[in-house]
Amino acid sequence: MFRKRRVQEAVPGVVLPITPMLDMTFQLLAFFIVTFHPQEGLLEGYMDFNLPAAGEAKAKKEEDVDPNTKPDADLEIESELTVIVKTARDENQGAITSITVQAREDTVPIENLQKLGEYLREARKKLSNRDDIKIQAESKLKYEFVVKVMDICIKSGFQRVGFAPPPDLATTGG
Amino acid sequence: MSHAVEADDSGPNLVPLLDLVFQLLMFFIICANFKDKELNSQDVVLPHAQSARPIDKAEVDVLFLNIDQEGKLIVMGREQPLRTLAEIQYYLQQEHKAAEDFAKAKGDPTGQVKTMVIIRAHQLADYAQVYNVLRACKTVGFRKLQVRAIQQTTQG
Repeated sequence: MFRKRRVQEAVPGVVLPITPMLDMTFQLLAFFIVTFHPQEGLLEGYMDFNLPAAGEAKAKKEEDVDPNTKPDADLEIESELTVIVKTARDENQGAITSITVQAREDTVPIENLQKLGEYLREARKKLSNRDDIKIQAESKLKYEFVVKVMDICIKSGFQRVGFAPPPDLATTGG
Repeated sequence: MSHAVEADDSGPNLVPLLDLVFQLLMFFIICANFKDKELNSQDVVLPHAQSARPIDKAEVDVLFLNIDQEGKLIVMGREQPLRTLAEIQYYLQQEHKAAEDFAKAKGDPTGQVKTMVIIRAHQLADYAQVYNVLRACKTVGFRKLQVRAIQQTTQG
């Protein structure tokens, strides 16, 4: 009798708790269903640009940058080309109505964004400063179109895009 | 023998405890997701750009500025968006001061601010509204800026 009892104690029954594992699996499933947002490849990316202070603009290396230099309040960078983008007020919901590229000597009207890319690629070859370009847009132009112009500038080979103040900013009170 | 069997049956039941722990885990995972949504306001529809590059997740010192369609600035920790330029400038000054103090506390005597300001502007916001925020960032002293856009892989 004594020997039999010892054998029963030595081999306890192993019970796998399946129910909590199932619970966990359903919880994880619910989590992934709730957080799943099909975006069809719409991935957020970045377009960066620096805001150099006057003394910092010509620094070649990061070590050369003077951290004590006070930043100037202008977003402009020194560039030989300025893309001027205009929009009609209250008529086309802030879309582009005219594009001109201002060089040091002359101003060239551009038909559309595609032509702008072609022009900038050609014009860049003749510049001494091939890294910087400036965009001057009217205040009512929608940001979407400013980014399109910025996109074209970067694709044309310019490394830094600066923003000139909207020429009509004072009159619109913005 | 009967004593030993009774002791086995009365052991603590860990299954509901496990369930509770997993429930708590779920709660915190979902909360973390809400915080991310707060940082990246879903009210902002970003413009598309082919030159947009994949986000570098190594950047940890960041300040998100969401600009909605009406040009209001949506920032984390404030229920109401910032409407006027003065409000925006004051907010940015506070953030810059906090970043400067943090840099000094970490041992940098110059207190150089290395915060990356991330601008997420609605595609239908006016350029002037975005420009004003950019200018306020620069006036206050932020140097590193990033504009967010949706990566566009095809023409159009």
